[in-house]
Amino acid sequence: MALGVFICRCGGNISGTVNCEEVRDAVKDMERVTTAQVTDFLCSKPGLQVIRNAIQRRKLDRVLVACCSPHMHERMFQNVVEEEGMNRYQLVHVNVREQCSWIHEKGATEKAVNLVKGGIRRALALDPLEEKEVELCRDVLVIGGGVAGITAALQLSEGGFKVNLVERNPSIGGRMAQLSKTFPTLDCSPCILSPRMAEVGNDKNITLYTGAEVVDLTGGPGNYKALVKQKARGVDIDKCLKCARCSTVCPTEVPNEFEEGLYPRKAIYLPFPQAVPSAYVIDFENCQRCGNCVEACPAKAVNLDDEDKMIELDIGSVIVATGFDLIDEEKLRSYRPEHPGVVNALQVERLIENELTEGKVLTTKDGDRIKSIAYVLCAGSRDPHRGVSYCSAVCCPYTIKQAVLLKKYLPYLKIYIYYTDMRMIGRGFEDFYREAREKGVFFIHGRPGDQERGRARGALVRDGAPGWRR
Amino acid sequence: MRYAVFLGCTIPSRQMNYEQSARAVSEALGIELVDADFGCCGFPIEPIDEVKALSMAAMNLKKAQEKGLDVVALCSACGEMLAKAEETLEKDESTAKNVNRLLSKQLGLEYSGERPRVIHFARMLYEDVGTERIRSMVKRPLGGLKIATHPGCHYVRPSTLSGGFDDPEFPHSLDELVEATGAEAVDYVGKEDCCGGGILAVREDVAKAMTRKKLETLSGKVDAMVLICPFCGIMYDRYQKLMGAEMEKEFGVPVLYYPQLLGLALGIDPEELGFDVNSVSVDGVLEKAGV
Repeated sequence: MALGVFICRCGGNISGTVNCEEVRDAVKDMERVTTAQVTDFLCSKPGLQVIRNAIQRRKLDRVLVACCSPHMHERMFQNVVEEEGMNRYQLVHVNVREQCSWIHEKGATEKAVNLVKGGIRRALALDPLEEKEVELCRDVLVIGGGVAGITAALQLSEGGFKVNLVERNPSIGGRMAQLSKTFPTLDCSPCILSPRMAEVGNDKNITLYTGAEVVDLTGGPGNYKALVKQKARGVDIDKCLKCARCSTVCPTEVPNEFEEGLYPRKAIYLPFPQAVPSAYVIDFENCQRCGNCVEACPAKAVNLDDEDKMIELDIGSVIVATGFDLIDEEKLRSYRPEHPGVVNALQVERLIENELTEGKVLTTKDGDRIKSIAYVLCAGSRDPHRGVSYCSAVCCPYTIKQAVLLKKYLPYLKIYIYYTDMRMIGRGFEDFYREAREKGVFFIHGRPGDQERGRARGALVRDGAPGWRR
Repeated sequence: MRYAVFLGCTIPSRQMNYEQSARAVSEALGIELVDADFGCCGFPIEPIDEVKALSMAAMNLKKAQEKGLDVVALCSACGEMLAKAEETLEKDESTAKNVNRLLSKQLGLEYSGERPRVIHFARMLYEDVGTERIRSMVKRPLGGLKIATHPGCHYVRPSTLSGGFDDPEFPHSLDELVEATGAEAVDYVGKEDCCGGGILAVREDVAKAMTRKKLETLSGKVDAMVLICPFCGIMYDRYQKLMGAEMEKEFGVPVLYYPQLLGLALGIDPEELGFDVNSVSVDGVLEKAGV
């Protein structure tokens, strides 16, 4: 066994914090280490020549390179040692840049020594490997049936792949199906999404599992086994006529998830008009099993004894497209989320769809007309103390979208937007922002400290500064 | 339970009712408060010289360390300063070196090793004693009293120092402590607002406007305001009286330190709770509490 160790300075990227010569001296006398060298830019032609020469002159059968991440150049180093007659799998690539010199100021040299010593142990334990071709499963599992999962499934199908699309809810569509319009062009969201949802339903390459969740995934790339639990639907999707007779006779009312709890639904219900699969579903958690729906169904599609199913899938790869959720309101108690005048942005989307496009006005619970609305941006974003430290990058534009829509339907509304920074990064966003200002939307720089309900207003937001309120 | 008690400068000179009631309540709850010859926490000079401020804090912490005791601070600003010193000395090696250099030069001291825990008196009651235990020891439930709490700025902030024991934007621990006495903690707008004390030395008019705002919100709506910081106490109690005289009006918002309220609930003689130091009359509260 003869091992060569090559340490790269990377033009200061590594040698700026790691003393490369010290690393070399720490390992050069280790057993089986035939040569240990420090080089500038190991990946350059002269750098690679150093490795080539050493393999030839010293008859190396193992090579360790200590440089950047294997993602950068491992394959190239493997090719080089192979060209010199070595087995490519007896090359060990130690990362002393991304995982060492770039992230440590103190102790980087010590860590680099340890990493290289570990790499040497590994190099000495390596057997030469032979490459073989094996058959892999080409089927794909897509987790999540929102717009991302739908797009992935359709594109894979177009490429000739079989797709298993698993969605937790009774219909695909996800968050985008709940939205009224898209920004900044104010296109109709359902008009973009619904045809694609229907395509998924008709695509012969796509098998759709709704009301289902992946509970286990074993195996490895090219050869996974997925265990999918599909909840009982209670309604035969092929027989269901969508005649609504079942929901008319259903005695149970619960908040509708699709409407963000603003409106009720029955225990047997159609998730939303454009749902795919286009069929009713029973919410067995709330169903009282009275049997009214079974009697009312003219197609005999309802089965109260339907059971959960476990489905095993053989797949080669997985795409995770599980989407997003709103922050837990409990973390934002200072904004009084429990107050009836306080709603979240998804609820506003549903209010626009259900009230404003129907020609109604927004009212409080007591029936008073809402005359002003305040938006609190960054609620839980960019706030490591109680939310997340990052920016969603969509709140600013969708707020402007909603403000512009609200102004269109209800021009008398006074809209105040409390913002941290207006991050209008995207084509046409800045024009959209200007449009909102031209339409008379007020923009106020700052986060509100507290809020109270005013009589003629939905929610009165109060700034933290004393003597200053709107 | 034994703690080194950190009084700071303001309480022993201007807000003795806080100290007196805190000692009385601790005794009733079986908590021993040990005096450790502390000096100033360093907070007032922090904006001018951080290393000197941290050195003053470290000198105090060393005294607690020598006694092997954790520290409870009555004053929110002292609590924050001492906790901040603990964190900075732990995490920032170069500042710790500068602090120890100054300490050794001037006092021949070095502060290192096992560091005592620093918490606010109210947090000690909330976390270490617990509202359940307090509730069980109440002899004179204060049902019928409507209390507005004022947590103040430094009690739960910065959130990195308070270890997440309460929501920095919407603190509830003081309300829970008030409710443990049987009184009702009412929600009101502006609970999070600053008392104005922080700016008093620079712009008295602004400070008074801030104080007045909250007093006007609460006037006539609550039986008393409960707080846990001597600066807040000066603003809401002392300045309420001064502003009332200037404006020829009575706000009529009695201002109690939490241990004063708790003391009443625990059945302690009001004479021992320092009510004679309160500027705004607390007779209404005492009457409603049935004392």
